[in-house]
Amino acid sequence: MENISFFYESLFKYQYLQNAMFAGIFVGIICGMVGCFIILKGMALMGDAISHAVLPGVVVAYMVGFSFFIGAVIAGVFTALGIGYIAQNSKIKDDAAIGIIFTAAFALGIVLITLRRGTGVDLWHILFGNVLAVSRYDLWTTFGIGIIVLACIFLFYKQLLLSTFDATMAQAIGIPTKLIHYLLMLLLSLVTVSALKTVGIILVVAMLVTPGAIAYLLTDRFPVMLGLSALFGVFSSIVGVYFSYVYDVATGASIVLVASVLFATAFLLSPKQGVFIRWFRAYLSKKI
Amino acid sequence: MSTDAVVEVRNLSVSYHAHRALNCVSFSVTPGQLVGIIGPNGAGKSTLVKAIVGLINVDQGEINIWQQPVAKVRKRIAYVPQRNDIDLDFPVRVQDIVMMGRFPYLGLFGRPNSKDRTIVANCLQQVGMYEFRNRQIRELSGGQQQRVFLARALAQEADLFFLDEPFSGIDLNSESIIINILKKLRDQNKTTFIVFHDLAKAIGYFDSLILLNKKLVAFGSGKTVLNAKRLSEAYQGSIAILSSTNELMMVNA
Repeated sequence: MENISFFYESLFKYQYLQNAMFAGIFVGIICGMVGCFIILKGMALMGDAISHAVLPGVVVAYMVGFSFFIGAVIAGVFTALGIGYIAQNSKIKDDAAIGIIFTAAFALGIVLITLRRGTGVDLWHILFGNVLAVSRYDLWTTFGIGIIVLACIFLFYKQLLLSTFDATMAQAIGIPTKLIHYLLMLLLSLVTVSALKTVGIILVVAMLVTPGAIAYLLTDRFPVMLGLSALFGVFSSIVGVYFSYVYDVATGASIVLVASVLFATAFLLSPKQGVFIRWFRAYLSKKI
Repeated sequence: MSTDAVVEVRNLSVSYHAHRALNCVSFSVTPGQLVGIIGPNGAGKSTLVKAIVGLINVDQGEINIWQQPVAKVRKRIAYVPQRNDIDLDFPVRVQDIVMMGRFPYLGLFGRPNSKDRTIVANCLQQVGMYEFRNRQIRELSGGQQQRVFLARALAQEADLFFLDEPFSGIDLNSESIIINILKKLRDQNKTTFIVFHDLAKAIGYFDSLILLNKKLVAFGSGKTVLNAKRLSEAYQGSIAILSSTNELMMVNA
């Protein structure tokens, strides 16, 4: 209780903590929603790939001095295009193409950073996030990205739903499934960038996959899954920032651990598919 | 070349990478028919359907539907994919799936309205799945799932239907419900293509048959297509044919 009231007071006192909190909430919402499409398409690895591959874009943007949001989005979209191109034009399968391209991009980013050591690009902060350094500008950018992402999901809901559930039918009735795929990749890049400061590149995939996976275990309805996923994303962010502040540990990792604990709980206790309920049913059927 | 053809295919060839899946297939189908596509595994049955509906690239050949390229008439064509191509754990309810049949009518940003919901309920009743409208698809039997996907095609109010292996692994009750609905559609002058396995039932179900094995082996009414010579040409020894008087008996090997 003491910790909570201490955190509560600090939240009103310190601007940076408020920024961290709001950034975490936005990121929780949009990562959670985009993540639903990613896990249902079986593209968690793609999420991991895009998030790593934005690194060179971010570094070049820092060096040349334009917004790192733009650099990251360009790098992310090029990665998605490159992976698609290799998979479609050779017998290399998707997962191998992903492994090749994203490590190449990530390595390029690291080389660029080490080339220009001491220019104010802090590798550690890009990789693991530094939520306490979220500026007002970052916050507004995250907010803007959030609005774009939510608007796209709202406007193209049925196209996204059908091409995720049944791409063949989507194509048969004339939905441009390739365009929808690249729209999703664009959203993925945007979301990754917005999560850069809060959880960092390495752990973004957790924010994409874990809340969505929890929601997936709890519901059979897609709109409910989207809502629950956003909710779990937000909850993880808030509780994660709290633990990080109170116990002085890394924020990104703290947020991800909260989400992981939620997942473990849902996995064991989910009323429909949880491990315990299955044991219980098996036990009952044996008794009878 | 007939002018009243629904589907007209000329010299169609399709390859996957370097492998030829279909070679120079030509036929034309008039409206109001149930058309069965039969042939051994790997004969290119699904490939033919996907090529007609415009889902895959073709090497050469011309496909016209109502004398137009498929891209112009997509709304009037309903396609039911194979059941194993679909993620049955997807968080959608039965009625959500059938509603997808209304998507071609909703425009870019449109939402379903009460008319769409009435049509969905109607189609679910036709296939006898209305009581299951709030279920997730994994909870249904194979035949019930297939009826749901047929309801989705019905909701599209199409004039031309393509069903890829709708009868594989389903119960007899579902099969007879489905075939009766398809016969009703035929009586409304609509045309349905069905990828089909069970040669013994083929004559009773279909008005025309397309017998494939990478090329068109035969095309026409059931009686002309299903004779011993043609079947052994298509199946190349992987089938035993026992002919007694007028009855054909076939054993898939």
